[in-house]
Amino acid sequence: MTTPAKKTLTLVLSDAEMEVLDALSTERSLSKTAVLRQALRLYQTVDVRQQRGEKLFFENGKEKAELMLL
Amino acid sequence: MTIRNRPDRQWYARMIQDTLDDDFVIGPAPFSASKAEATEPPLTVAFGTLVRLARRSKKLTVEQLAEKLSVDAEEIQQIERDPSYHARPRTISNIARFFDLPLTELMKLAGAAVSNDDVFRTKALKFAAHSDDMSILTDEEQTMLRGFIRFLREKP
Amino acid sequence: MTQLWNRQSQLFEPAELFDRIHAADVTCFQNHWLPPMQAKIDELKLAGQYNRQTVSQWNLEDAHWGWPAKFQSRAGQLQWASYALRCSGMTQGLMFINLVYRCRLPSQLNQHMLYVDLVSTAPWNRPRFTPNPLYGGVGMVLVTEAILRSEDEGFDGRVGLHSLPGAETLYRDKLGMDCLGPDPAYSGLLYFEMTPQRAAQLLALLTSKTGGTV
Repeated sequence: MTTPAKKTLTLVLSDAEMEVLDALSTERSLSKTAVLRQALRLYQTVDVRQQRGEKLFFENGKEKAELMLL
Repeated sequence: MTIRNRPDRQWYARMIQDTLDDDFVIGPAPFSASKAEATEPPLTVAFGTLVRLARRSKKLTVEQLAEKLSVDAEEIQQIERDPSYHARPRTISNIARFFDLPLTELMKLAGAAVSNDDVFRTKALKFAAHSDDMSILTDEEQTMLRGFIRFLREKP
Repeated sequence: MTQLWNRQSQLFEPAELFDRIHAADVTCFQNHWLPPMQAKIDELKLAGQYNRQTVSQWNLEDAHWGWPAKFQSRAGQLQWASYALRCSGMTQGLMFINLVYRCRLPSQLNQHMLYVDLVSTAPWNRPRFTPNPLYGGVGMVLVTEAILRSEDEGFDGRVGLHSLPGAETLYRDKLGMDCLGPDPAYSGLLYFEMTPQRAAQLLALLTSKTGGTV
């Protein structure tokens, strides 16, 4: 099977951002790269939908809160 | 991202033999809403919006439109309000004729015909998302309505 | 390289797995998969026999999935990945997976998983569609790849999927997946998840010590 081509990106993050990345990486048992990869996938997924005019909601039992300005 | 621990040939041979009579087809069941429709609003939302705005652009009440189309007022109400309601083909046809809209595209919006056209779907849902529930069409709604009708009429 | 079982010659044949669906696969679907399936559907419709039962009987559930349309709309989206399996010059299998879903199984709640969205094998491979099916193992190779991809993504082999009616034994008993019951958000189809433990167990069966490639 052909392996897809890869490119390297050097990321400069603040201490706070790095902390968040570390925490997510630990909580989700993913490498930091995998976390960022997931973040990119999710960001794009949300973006595509919002471009279509759809709204993003979080639901908690009976309450629905719109996630604006995402 | 290469897969490092791929099982060997014997593993595959055995698993294939073990599952030779099994059915691996995975996906939505036939005759039911596809996965896309389960998470996205149905196109009928756009149909309802279109009927509602088109009606109001002609300054007609639901009853008045129903009378002109020779259908029940209740059906017009359901079309406009209930995304799970599937209008009768005859009603869709009457709506198309009355508002001078292409029947084929309307059938797709109303759920009476299948559409695999993502552009169509996207435009329809965007149109539906931007409408508002006011008795008089705002300038913006007029523009949206005209734009969407133009899109429907221009579809090859 | 992988392999498929040729039911007619009773031999394994080399097959190639591609880590995305290519235009050539879509063309193969349109020119070779769809026509016989559509012909059967038209036949059923003409005979007034086109319903849920007959569609299942003839294994035509996927005729309306629209692989070409999905290929187009999902192409640029990172949440979707696809696979194509080719053998003897034809596309034999297709699969779409999703990478942003989370687990529902209580022991794995909210952990990342790989969701198998669509899997299809060419109509000439289906025992219910043709009296002389050609290749066996297409589905098995694809689903295995989904588990391996899940591991590679860091999801530890967690995989989720909805099973069409009749396939429950395969996922529950043969693959050892956990069944979470009918999913009301998906036409009541049974929803299955594979745990990391089960994935490790499954893949460990007869794997050579060196973890060599096929």
